[in-house]
Amino acid sequence: MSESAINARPGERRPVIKARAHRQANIDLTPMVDVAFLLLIFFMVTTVFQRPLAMEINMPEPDAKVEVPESNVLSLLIDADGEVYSHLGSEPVTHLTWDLLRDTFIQQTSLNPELIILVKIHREARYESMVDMMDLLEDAEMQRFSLVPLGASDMAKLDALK
Amino acid sequence: MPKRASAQVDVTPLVDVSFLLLIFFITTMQFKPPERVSVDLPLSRSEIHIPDTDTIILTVDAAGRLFISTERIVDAVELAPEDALGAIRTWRGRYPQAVVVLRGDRDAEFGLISDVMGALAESETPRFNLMTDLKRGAS
Repeated sequence: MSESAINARPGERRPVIKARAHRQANIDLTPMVDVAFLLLIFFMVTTVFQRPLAMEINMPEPDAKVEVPESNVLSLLIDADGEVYSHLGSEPVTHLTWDLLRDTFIQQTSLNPELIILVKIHREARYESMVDMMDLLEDAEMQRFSLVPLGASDMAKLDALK
Repeated sequence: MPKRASAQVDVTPLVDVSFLLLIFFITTMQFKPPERVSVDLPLSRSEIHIPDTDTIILTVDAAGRLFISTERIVDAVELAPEDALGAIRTWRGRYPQAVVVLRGDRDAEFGLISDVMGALAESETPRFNLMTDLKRGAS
């Protein structure tokens, strides 16, 4: 009984063919399930439920003024090349590396809990250096700092070091 | 005969569930929208999420161009730096509840970002967010 249903003549309706047609109605779902799972896995793997992240910034009022003794002020200067310099109050400016910054913060705040940090960034520096600096400050649990424009006197101090 | 019938597992519920999941993933999947202004975000350890809707996004790309948009960055409008303050005020008036997000490229010049932040402070938006990517790994 190797003769297929297509080859059967239309007039001849024998019970054998009926039985065979009944068997063919049973569709094998395995390939469909295979494909479905393949697609499912593909979509599960490629879907990213990603929402952008952010840092929160609270800026002071534009004309807010706070008087602070100079010895309580730690200035961090970032030049156009992204190098960091710091000076405490009116002490001379020293060059720092990014790796040392966190330890410096912790050391300086333990010496003086009233410490206020001013971050002065050169206009031509990369924006990334600001975010890196803020990230470091946040990491060292120093949420209070100010972003101050890098003035001409600071520029002169930086130039004198080079 | 009954023994043979029990060996046949009915896969229909399995197919149902898998198709349901498949349809779920297909419909929820968002293709990355073609970005008119693509930006390499700076990395930070901050894990605060920005809301999906009701945001005003200020984009500064690596070339220093400034754009303003809602969360639909595709519709971003380019701004001249001197128009930034006026535009921020207009958009803040249009979407008073919106969260302001600054989306700067990590290689953008700090001066520009600083100008935008100045404009934000001046337009009575002292609270805003800096969009960042998560910095992975230790330190």
